[in-house]
Amino acid sequence: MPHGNLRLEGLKKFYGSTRALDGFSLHVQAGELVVLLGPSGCGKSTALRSVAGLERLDGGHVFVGDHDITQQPTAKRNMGIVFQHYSLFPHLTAAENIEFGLKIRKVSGAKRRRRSNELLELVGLGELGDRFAHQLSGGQQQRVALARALAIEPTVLLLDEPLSALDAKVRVNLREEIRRVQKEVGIATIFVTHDQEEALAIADRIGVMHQGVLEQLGSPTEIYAAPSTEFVAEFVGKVNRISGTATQEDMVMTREFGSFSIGDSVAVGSKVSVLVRPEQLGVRAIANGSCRLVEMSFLGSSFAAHIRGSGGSKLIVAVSPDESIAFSIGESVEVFQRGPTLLTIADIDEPEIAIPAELAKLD
Amino acid sequence: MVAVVPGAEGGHLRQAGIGGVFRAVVLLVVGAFFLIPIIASARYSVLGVHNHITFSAYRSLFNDPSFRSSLWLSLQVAILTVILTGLLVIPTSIWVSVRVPRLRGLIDALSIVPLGVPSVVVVLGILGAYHSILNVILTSPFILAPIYVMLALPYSYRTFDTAVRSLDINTLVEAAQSLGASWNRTLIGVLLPNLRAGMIGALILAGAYALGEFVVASLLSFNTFPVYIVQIGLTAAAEAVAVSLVALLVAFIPLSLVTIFGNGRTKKRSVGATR
Repeated sequence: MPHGNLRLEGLKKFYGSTRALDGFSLHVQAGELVVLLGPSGCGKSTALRSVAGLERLDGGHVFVGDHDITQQPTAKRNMGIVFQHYSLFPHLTAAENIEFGLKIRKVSGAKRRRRSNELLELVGLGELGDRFAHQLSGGQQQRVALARALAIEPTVLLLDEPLSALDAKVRVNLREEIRRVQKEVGIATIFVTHDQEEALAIADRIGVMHQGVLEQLGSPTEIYAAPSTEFVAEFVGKVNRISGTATQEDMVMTREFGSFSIGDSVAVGSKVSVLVRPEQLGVRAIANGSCRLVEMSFLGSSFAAHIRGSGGSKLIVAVSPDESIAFSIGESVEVFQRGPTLLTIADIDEPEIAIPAELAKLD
Repeated sequence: MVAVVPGAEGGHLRQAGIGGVFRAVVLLVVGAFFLIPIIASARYSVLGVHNHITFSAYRSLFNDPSFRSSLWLSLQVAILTVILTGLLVIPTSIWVSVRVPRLRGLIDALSIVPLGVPSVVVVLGILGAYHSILNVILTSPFILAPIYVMLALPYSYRTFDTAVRSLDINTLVEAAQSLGASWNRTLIGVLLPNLRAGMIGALILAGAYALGEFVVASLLSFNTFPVYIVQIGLTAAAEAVAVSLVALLVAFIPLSLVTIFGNGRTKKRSVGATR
């Protein structure tokens, strides 16, 4: 069966006055893995469930290839789903679970067994076909669920936080496995998660969702290095927010941490906030500096230096283990820029020129 | 008894001997509590004049045509009750969980209502409501079955619903549908096998209720087995005891079969979640 591409056009879903999906559109190419990333309640699960037909949409269309499947019931959509909760049928063995969808499609017994053996091998559970769900670990159950979803040769694979019930180590292992299997099968896949590390690790493209719409869609490196909005910058990775005033179009003098050259261009004199990642900053000890090193926390591969400015603002700077030796807590330091900033945002809270109250409200 | 077993197991870790003895004592006491009355009844039912052993009570019982007819009637009513209970309770409980979970509280409350309404009131209500329009139906003893379905709801519905709640039924339904299963297929191929224990429990309770119910049948003047037992008890004591023992056997044999059969299947298929 050819694996189609998936097109979502202007999906809308309302729960009372809450807009779970508010005109959500997305194209997923055949063979591509798109991660929908966002905080809980952003609509990512609703989006996935409406692709599967498990939620009735209030607007918009779902296409597979050229076929509008918006009105089709779940059972007719031929989509493989792996759920967040363990979903194996408890009265069937792992192999019987995998064969369930094939049985419905009236595939002969011998063929079914061959296919379930192949899939058990594919997900690395060759020996465990005759185990029941309660005899398998959480990670193994999710592998079987993946095999079961793939058994029906679905047009699209939908993974709804499949790893969130598992513990950290299994999670990392299994996400790599899922990615490997997905590439091997070459199927259009939507993977929903709230874990940004997971998203960055396995996605071809990440769609960051916020309040029912796609905030930004791009490759993991784009999302991380060039977030298009403040929300994306702050949701994916760690970020510092420093307020200051533009002294040139591409230069901002911050109140407490010195000046930064910015990638955007802003009006000279405007009050702005600069968003910058900890690893794009450096810190050095100086005598009589206005900043202090208040804490140094160990993160494994690096340290996070917590800096407090003269006005009490806090900043996190990534410091390599070699550098970290040179510092002592309470020391007077200064912060400098190592790499590009992410974004510069106009501070609407503190306008440079006094705006009449009526106009300010309109903002 | 259930409360005693964990204590015995706790002791088992430290003092296996005392734990074992304790268990044996508990088993003996509980066994005696149930068995002594049965043995005494059995003895009484076969004692004739001057303590001679005689089966005359049983003979006259089996020769009494109304014994067989009342037993047969009760069995028929019980079977019909079981079928109707299954048809009502199983889809309702599943449907409420999957589609309208917010009605759960209401349905729960409704299912206990029969406990609060005395049988006499139910009978009078039914007579008052249907007598004028459905005279024919009220003369058939099978009218008892729907009444029993309703009266047994507090037991049957709750038993089944507990089993439904112990499954993550929504996820199972969604998984089955995503694999292409129709509603029927989902119900028969996925849900019922995993709800087997709850289903059997609920149906046994409904059947047992129908077999043992006296007040409604008596008020509606149907000669069911319990009504027959009471009637014969008024005139012949030994026969009344004999008939009770027969009733016990009639209930005990199928129940044991169902339990053994049901458990065997359950163990073989290793359904952990439903127990």
